[in-house]
Amino acid sequence: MKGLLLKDLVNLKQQTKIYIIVIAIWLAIALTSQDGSFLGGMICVLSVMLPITTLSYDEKAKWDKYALSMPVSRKQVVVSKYILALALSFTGCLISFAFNLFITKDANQSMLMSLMFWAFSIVAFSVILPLIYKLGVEKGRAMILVVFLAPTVLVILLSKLNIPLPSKEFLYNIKFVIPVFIIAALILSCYVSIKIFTNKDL
Amino acid sequence: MENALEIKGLKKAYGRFVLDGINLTLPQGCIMGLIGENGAGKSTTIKLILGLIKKSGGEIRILGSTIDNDEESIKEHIGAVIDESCFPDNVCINDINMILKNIYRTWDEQKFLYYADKFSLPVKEAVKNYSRGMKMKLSIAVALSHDSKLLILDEATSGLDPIIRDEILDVFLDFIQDETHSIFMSSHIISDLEKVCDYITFIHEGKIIFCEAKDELKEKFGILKCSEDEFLNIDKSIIKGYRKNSFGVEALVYKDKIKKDYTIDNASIEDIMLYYIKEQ
Repeated sequence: MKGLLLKDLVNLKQQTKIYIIVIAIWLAIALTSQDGSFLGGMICVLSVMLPITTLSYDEKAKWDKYALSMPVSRKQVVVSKYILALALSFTGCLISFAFNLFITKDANQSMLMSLMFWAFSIVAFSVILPLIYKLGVEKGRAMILVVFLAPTVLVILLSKLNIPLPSKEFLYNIKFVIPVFIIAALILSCYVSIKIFTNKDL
Repeated sequence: MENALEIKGLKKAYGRFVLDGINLTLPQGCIMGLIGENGAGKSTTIKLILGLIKKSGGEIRILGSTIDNDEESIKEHIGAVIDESCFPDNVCINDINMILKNIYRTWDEQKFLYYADKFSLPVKEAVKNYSRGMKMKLSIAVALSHDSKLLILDEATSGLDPIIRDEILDVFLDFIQDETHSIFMSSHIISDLEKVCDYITFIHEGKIIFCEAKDELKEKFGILKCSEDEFLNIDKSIIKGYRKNSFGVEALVYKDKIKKDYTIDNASIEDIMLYYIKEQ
């Protein structure tokens, strides 16, 4: 597993310079507008894109076939992607928290926003990864758009239908349920991906 | 001594293509070449051996164990080269060394760097800049750099120039010096197989046509060149396959059954394969 993670990290290393520049630009935008939410959102999107990029590289190199001739199980191949996604999204969360704190000087609000975006990243890749394992990266990429647009569309739809959005108090009350839901989604997603990949003819 | 590879009744159906009850045995310490036309089932057989696709029936034993039972420990001892499969674009040899150190228990860094140097592979260059031949050489270097007892090679020498192919065949012959080492290789470059293999397995339309010792095959068959009239007089049971050309007829015949007064040339494995198919 460690070898698989190293492979992905080394493969992505090439592009770190670009990410740093991009994040610096977003940080500049956030500073000028005194609003960290754009930055948080974009980091969230980036942290979901990265594991998908590694899947794309793997597909191009037909890596999976090769990896399975090594002492590596199908389960490990899948789980390593989830670990990668969690690690990258958590890193994104920390970066987002640090930048938000710097901009707003409000620790509570920064933490809440960063955690919220992290939660959203987890749900996003929990939906996307099994789709990619089933359909391949190209089709999976199309799904990303849907996954990120869906909440926005839902909110607009609800407001058009005059259904009130959950109030702050409501969200506060269910705040302990949310992590449980997210962990459940993650585990279910991983289980489904493993199932799909195990049955795939390579 | 257990066999390196044992396949019994292997079946796989893919739409219209069917792999129909493949049987073959590779004794330890030997090299077996797998030959056949495109689409005959060579790659399918290799993928089934490596567990990349699911079989519909039959049994595969590698180094005495089946892959579903003992997955990781057997794979420690398998070195595979699969056509077109490689490392992701941005890694280089040093990265690969670091990655594989964490995948193979028996990874030998020195050996790997030795082969990388021997095959003239640039240590810091990303894999995306490698030519096809370089990627093949890289896979071969990887396959040799851990405790491999069985090399499984799918078209490992295709795309390589004759000089480097010769070097690699020497590396394989060196590998086989150890009696516990074996090689199972598929190739279209039959002259390569003829140089190094002990056994040849011929697969055609999903069935094994023969699985025999190379020397025995060459002893058994010869090429007869004669006129059409002479050909008509020959007992058909002696002839394995034939083709007509502007000079007469060329036929693959059983050496021991043909009469002594005919001139028989040696048959290469390629000849044998071609004439077998022509018989169909």
